[in-house]
Amino acid sequence: MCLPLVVLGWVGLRLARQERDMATQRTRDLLVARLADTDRIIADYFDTQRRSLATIADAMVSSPDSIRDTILRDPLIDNAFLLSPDGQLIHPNLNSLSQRESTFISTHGDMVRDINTPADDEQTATITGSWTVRFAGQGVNIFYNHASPGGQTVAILLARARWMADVIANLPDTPIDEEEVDTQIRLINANGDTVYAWGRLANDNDTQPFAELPISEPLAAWRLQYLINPDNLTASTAAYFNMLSLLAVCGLVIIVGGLAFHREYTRRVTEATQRVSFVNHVSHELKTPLTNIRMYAELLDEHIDGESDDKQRRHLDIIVEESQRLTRLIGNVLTLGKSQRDQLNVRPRPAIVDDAIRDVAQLFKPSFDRRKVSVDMNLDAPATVNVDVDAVEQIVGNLLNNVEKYAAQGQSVTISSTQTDATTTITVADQGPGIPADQHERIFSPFARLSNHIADSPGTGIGLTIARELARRHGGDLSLVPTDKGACFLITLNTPAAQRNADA
Amino acid sequence: MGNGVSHHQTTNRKSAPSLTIVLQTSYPDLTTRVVANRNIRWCSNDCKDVDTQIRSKAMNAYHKTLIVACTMVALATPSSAKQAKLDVSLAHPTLLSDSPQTTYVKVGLTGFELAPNEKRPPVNIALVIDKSGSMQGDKIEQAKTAAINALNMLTPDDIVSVIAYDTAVSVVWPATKLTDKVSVRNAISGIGAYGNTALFGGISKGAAEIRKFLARDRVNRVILLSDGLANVGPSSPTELGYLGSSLLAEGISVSTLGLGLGYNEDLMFNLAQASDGNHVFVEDPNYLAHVFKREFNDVTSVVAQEIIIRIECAPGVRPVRLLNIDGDISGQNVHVRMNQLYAGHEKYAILEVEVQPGEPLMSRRVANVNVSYANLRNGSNDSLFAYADADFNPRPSVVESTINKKVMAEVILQIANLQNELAVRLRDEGKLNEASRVLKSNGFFLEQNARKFESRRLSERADSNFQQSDSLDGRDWEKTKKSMRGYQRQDRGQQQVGSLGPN
Repeated sequence: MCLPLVVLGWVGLRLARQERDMATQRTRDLLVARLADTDRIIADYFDTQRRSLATIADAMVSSPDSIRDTILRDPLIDNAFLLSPDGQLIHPNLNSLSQRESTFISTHGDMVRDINTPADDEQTATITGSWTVRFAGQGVNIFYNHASPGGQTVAILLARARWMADVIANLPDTPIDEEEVDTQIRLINANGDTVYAWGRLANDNDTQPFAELPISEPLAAWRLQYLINPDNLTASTAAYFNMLSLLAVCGLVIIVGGLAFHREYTRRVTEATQRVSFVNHVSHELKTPLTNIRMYAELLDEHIDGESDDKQRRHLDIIVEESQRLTRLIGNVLTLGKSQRDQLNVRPRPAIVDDAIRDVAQLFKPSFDRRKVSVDMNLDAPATVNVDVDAVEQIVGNLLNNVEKYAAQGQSVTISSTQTDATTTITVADQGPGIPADQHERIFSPFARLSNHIADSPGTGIGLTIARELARRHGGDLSLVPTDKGACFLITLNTPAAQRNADA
Repeated sequence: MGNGVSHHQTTNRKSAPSLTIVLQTSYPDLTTRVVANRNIRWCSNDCKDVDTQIRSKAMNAYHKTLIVACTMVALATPSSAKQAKLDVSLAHPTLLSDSPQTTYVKVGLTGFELAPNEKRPPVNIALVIDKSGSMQGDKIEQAKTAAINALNMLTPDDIVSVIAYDTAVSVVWPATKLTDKVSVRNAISGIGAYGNTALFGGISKGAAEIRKFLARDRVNRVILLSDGLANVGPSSPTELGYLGSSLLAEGISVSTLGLGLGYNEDLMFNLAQASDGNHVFVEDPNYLAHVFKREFNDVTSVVAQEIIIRIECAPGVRPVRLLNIDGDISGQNVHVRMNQLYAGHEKYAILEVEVQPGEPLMSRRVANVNVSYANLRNGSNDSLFAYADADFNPRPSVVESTINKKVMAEVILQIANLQNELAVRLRDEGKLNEASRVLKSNGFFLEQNARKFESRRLSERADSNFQQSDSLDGRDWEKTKKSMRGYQRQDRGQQQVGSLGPN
């Protein structure tokens, strides 16, 4: 039981974990796609600037004297280089630098060398230019490079604070009463500092980003982060735990069920065993006193025979009859117990069947006389055969008992026996009320009685069951023969012939 | 004696009627010039007729009366083209003739007054309010109340947007005409405080809202209220300064109101200084209502904006530095931006120059000044021109006696401010004693000159300096520095108030 559980658990766990990882990855991909949308907003802004900067650059080329003015007027431009086709620096004019230009040259002057050597034909052909990023001062510095058709080169430095403010202006703001959102997107600069954030997190600090995306040119050193409250990964986490708990429950059910079943089984077996042994024990205990009662009753019967009055005799008869009944009953119960334990055996011995029948009929005579039931005996089984006399007595006794109980009003019972080679047939017929057709089989079931009213007649309902069981064990059967009036039982027994010399 | 010929040009849409006054001078070493903003014909012994805009140097009683008469006549003349008044003056109208001398050129602009029944130019204001955790409680409540009350000074023609920021930025009320005051009020009332401080983001969004209705005929201003340190986004004073100057180039000024003792005064000062807005230290939230009213009052009295001043120094004159404002000096040219000019109120820029010795008794051009600005009253682009000439004299006493006291007082004020900045730097480096010494000596400097140039402002500042030199310790410094920054901005930008509170 344990091994399948373990295997089940391990496989289930792996599946659940896989499922959860896949779900997490799906969520992550979704969020990265959203970040990509934001990236497009930023990229669009720089594209727009590039177009207007191209126009400005061309104007710078055509009138270098107005460059200072242009720079002063345009909030987005910090400063600019203008190089002649042969790489000479036209602006700023090194002979008359303003303070701003001095700072500009000292910070970015080395760029001039790099601009000086454009890649052969490419740059002269392009009209709209490209971005260059340099790290200096506060962080990222963005240059717009432009090669004019005439061969001059322009490099325009964007005012840092300005493009940052513009980018922020284009990004979403956070609605003021959305306090339950619990997600946040952050714009992170090259140093890892947050430049701008939108959305709201319940706990601001120490939240690892769930998804990240670097931004397009020229802000490639920056990135976007998507932060969510990890407790909110409901879909995947919940499924994972659901799977796990389901597995656990199944496993538990199996274990508990198994244990319970085992216990129940053991208990029942124990109980049954106990009950049977109890029954046997009790029956045995009952039998002994009964035997004594019968014995002394019969002795008394012989003693007073012929001398005492009828009343005494009658009382004695009743005592004997009742004790016989009890004995029979106990015998039935014991037999039933044995039969249930599959320990019922018949012991055929050489004997005469008719003798057995006469003996048992004799037992019932006083009762039948009292009830005014006449007994007709047509016995024709005189051969000595192998037969279990006790079984015969029990079977016939049960049948006669039934007649006594249920068919006494018929005033008659006929017992007949015949024999063929190895089979003895006995019939017991009465003139009682008979048995309804739909009960013909049921009467042989244990504990089944035609009526459950205790007052109707005493009995436990096991008489016919025993009788049939015994008959069958004797190689024969007990059945009900259809009759017009009353009931007729047919007993067949397997009785092979026996040697007269065997033990009697 | 040669008198310089100077030109005055106005490129107005409407032509101004001219008034002709003829003056004659008889003093060879003094020239008489008249200050007026009307067209005046002046002629020297040569009696040349020219249209001039002239400035006064020294006058005797006769000329004073004449000047008064002229001025009265001038002002009585009706004019449909009101303009700002440009005033270019030298601290030392007479310079030493045998050695180089440092002097100062003051370029002053005064806003014109509107007629009593004239409607003021509409405004475009973005209120940017700090709602970080430190603002919780009384501060945010007072801020909201103050903002709501100040809205009553505006009309449905004005455009207002409200931005609130903590870790993230919320546009509480996007830029719209103020036709529905109740809704704006409700939006402001709904602001609650918690979180960090994304000041840069707040300003960016505020500027974005202003840009929706950015126009030359509107007064465009961001008003920032903050009580804390910026900790999300760029937060160095330098970066915020750069942001300020780029906004100035667009015609947007940022006024910064610092509340309490926890904000970064360098950051707030830089932002206002660079964008030509106000910076005020508000110690007590109870004064917020007053501050907001003053600020809105300023905004609603702007008559000219987007001012570009170009100073061209003559040969032999070297521009050294600008004292109270940022600008670009390249060669002989100086480029200065200012933004918003209030009616009847003067803003100025002072340039320190080194002048080479000149011929005694010769008058020489020192600087030509061109100013252009957007006239909010009639939507036109006005240009003004003025210049400054100087005489030379070998006698120091003469030079001394002709000093322009008013200009010199303003020069001293600005120099003292620069000195104070040195003291602030020293104190921030932990050098309390040195800082105290600088403040004290600066105080004496101010005191001396206060007497010499008869300036009340200078003696007030002297007193402040002495006070500040004693309040450099620990918690005191927080407060001292903030009020210093407030005064600094007040002096440099000629704003009305620098610091508000029980101090």
